Amino acid sequence: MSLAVLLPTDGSASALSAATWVSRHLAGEPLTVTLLHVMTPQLEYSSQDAFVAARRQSEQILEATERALGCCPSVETLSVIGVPHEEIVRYAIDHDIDLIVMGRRGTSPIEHWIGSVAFAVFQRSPVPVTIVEPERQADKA
Amino acid sequence: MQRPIIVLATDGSPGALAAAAWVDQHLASQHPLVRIVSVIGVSSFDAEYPLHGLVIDGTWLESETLREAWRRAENRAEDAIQRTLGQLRHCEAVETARLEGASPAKAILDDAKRHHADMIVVGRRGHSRLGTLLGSVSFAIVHASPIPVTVVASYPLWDSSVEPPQTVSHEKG
Repeated sequence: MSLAVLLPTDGSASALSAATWVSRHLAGEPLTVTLLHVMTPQLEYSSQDAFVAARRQSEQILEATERALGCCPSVETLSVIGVPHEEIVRYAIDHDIDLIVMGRRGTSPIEHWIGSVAFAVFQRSPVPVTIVEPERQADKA
Repeated sequence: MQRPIIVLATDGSPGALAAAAWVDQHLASQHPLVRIVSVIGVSSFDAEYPLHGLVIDGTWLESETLREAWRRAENRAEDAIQRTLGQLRHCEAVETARLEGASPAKAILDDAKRHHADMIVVGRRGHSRLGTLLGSVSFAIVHASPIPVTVVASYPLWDSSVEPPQTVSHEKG
């Protein structure tokens, strides 16, 4: 049975380790992975240059996550603009995703606490969510 | 290769059964050892039966009410385990355990650590009355767990901006 995994990424260490976890632990079965980066709307996007720069940064984040994922046969990358948790949950529902995998914390500086995006997804998602803890995961490997 | 160890926490709620069905559908092909655990919450038990016993002249006298309540709690846990077991039709390695503790989240995390689990799977929105809206047990586990935690929803809290799905994971199986 094929497993459709949605891996939202913001390029943080936590998101990259979630990607590594997917390739290490779920690669045993047919897997389709969608990497999703959500660009938060910014006032500066009204300028064409700023938008192009943000777009390029988004591509770099997706590339870095794809590298962390390593050798998954079927990977799709996608960059959208919106509120992160809403776009993540919406995509998962619309595309029959079986599992959302997220790092526990994003780029927020508060230590030892689940990231706000991960928490919002955790609360709202009708699709199962796996929250991967980065540091200890590295220890276990 | 060694079997991955999955701790599947259950209280017999729709969320917990959905979590079991999801494991069966999507992770059985990994040939995991699924360890089904159900927690007898000792603190809520005490709150429900405050006068379960007395120490008189240094002797602990247990009331019949306490023993009866404990048996019921054990039966509830066993029933939750059996119903969860019923969802695991494709997993060949399954073990079960009843845990006891004041904090279900802590009991589950300790059990996962003791058995070197690779993942914890829980349903969102368990049995606790106050925590119903937040999924307090699953959130406590997500917050404190050193290993990956998968949270499976039974009936989602709809985000007003999101359309309901055509299929929910637990209805596919």
